[in-house]
Amino acid sequence: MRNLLILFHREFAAYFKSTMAYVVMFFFFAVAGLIFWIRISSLNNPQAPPMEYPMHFWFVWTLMFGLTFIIPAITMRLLAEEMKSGTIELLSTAPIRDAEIVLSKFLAAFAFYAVLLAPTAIYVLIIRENAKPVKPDLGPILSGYIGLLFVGGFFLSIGTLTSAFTRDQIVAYISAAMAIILLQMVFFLRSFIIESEAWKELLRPFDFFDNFQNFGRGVIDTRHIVFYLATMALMLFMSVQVLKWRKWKV
Amino acid sequence: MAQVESLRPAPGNDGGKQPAGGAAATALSRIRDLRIRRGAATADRAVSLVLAAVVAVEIVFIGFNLYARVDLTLVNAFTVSEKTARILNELDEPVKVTVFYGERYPAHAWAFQRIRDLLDEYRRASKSVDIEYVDPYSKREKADLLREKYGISEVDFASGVVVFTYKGQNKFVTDSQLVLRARATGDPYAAPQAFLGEEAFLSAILSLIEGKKPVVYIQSGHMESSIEDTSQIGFSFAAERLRRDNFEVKRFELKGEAVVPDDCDVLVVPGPEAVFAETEAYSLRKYVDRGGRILLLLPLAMEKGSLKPLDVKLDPVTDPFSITAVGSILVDPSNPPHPNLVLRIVVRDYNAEHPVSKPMTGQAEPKQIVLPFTRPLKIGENPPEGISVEAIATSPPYSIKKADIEDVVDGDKFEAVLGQFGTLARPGRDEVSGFPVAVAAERTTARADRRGRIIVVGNYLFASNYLLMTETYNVDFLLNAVNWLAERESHLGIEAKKPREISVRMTPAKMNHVFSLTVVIMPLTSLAFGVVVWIVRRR
Repeated sequence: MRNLLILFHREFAAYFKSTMAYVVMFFFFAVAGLIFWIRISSLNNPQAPPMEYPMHFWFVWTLMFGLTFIIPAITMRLLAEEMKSGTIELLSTAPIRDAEIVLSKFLAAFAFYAVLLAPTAIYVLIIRENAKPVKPDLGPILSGYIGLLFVGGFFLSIGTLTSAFTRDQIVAYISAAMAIILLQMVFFLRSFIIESEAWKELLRPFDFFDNFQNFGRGVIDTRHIVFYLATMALMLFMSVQVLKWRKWKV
Repeated sequence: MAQVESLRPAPGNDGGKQPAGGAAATALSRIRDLRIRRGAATADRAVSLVLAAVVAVEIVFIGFNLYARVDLTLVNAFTVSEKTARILNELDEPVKVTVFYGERYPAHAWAFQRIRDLLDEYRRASKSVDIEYVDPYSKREKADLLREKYGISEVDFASGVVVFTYKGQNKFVTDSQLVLRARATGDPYAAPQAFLGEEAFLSAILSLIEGKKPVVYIQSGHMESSIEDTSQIGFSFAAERLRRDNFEVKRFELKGEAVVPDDCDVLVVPGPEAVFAETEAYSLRKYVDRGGRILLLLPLAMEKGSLKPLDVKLDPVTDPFSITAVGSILVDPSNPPHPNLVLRIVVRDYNAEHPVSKPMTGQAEPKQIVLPFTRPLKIGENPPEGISVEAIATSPPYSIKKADIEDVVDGDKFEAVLGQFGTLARPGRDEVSGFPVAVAAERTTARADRRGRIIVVGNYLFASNYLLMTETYNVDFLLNAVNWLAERESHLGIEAKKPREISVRMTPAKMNHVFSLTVVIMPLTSLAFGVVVWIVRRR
């Protein structure tokens, strides 16, 4: 546990010492801000009907456009950089388990992601202060953020795994982004291609947009949470095994 | 570390002292050994990965069968009431629910999502609910077969319908029963205003499991609002809502010596404007004396077209309950200063103890009902023994009880009073306070098993077609009142889930500030930090 905390601190601090993290922040806030601007413009349009879930649009579009390309940038260096620079061998000789290395890096990435989301609370304040005729219900907004954390955590675990496979950060980035895009295709498969109800139900947990129908409307369903936690654990376990396998190769 | 260990010479095995051929053989043997170990380790990892995947799938599978949902919305929009859960658990046979809605069809999407959420909760609450979704568009063939089987009309089929089947009997819940839309626009697919699913579904289930439907008679014969009248001031929508709530609705004309029928569970008197003969008023009183139930919606305070106070002589019915309909009218000065608008009383103050008004107090905020042209009611200070009488809805504390409405209906006088006093309350003549506008009372009767009940509301227009269609909670109040009168307390408190919709109102200048902050300042600040870090690191 002590090792985990030390590694976590090291990794988390490393984000803020790297210019890359600020570039990631720049792109995330630019995309998220633009999506928010589109939303608030439509909410401010007197001709447009009022909205029940004013932040839902932001959550879904941020998930689709923001996280797909931002999260691989957060995770691409996690293990790939250690492999490339050879520091993974130093870590291997230290009395640290591979699981601690992977988990600390994942947790640091997750903490950075949470820090990235935190300033977007300003969007909520802007809507809340200017809403008419009533203040928006904060329950769906809170659950929407919880959903973003879970989905983001799942994407981060995918990025951790792809980063464990390669020493090239660009390859890690592209493969993570491709994996996330492929997973998002489940929505289109379920909505427009698959006809079988049984298959639709089977793929439902992987349909992030369907999951977000609940999170974004104020419902926290343990089915989604169990799914995300189980798949995150599986991805991290796979990352540990890949790390061990690569060390054998070294 | 085990891998590193495996590359070292074995203990006591000094490679330097071995002959060259022996060293090569040993090296080959170690490489072979290493390969075997690597192969074994890879196989171990492959097996552990497969096992981990199987465990993850099992956890997800178990999680999907044993799950809970937490509803964070203010109005518990996605949680079924305790009453629904109790009734579902008391079912002695499964109820089959067939949903004819298409998820991808835009006109169905809003309702479909809510129906699915609600039925998910039903399924969680009881094992006696069997649900089938039939998309009428992508599953056209199957849907057509079922449509013929259930005998669903083309109109209901097109707009969406849910069929409940219990012990071989079917009950339909149509889209118009599920979704309250802004019908004033005339568009059947106008923006939804509220989802009435829980109320409608429970009513359907109750109608299948209950034996006899309670009978509601709607009084006519004294220029009351009619259940056939579909105009804005008609009572047809109220009758329709009562039918949906599993009441049998009949017309009844009280004339001369007529008596209220024995099978009448609740008598509604919707805004009589003709004077009751003494025999007629006493007929109503006798009905209450023998345990009858009356919902009395008072007429306008003044005669139509004149300023003369209107008294339809129903005192024999209200007096025994110590209720008096005051011959004046309420004015809400917080409304825009227009003669018609100030007569629109918006009620948010309810008796939180009474079964009729308790559900109106809401979970987050009171549900407002609108009563236009209403008169205040007065409750006697010392009601006779055996009678309990309570105000269940009260006008805002700043409302004005006007002795006459001449200055309200007459635009010039309205302006004059406003100009003179800055308010419509004339000192010494008008009274400012919160006044009861709906009162509920009950009394003991000769029948030990049945108490007489009455609810008096200050004006019948609150239950008119227009206000029931435009004010969601007027419907709730009406249904709560009739259900309490009919002693169907289990039907009370199932609230319409009204979406909390918002818009944003900002000036162009403020919008520019928001744009600057969210699209320019926030991203650039991050970039600026990045530049500072880069400079510091270079040094």
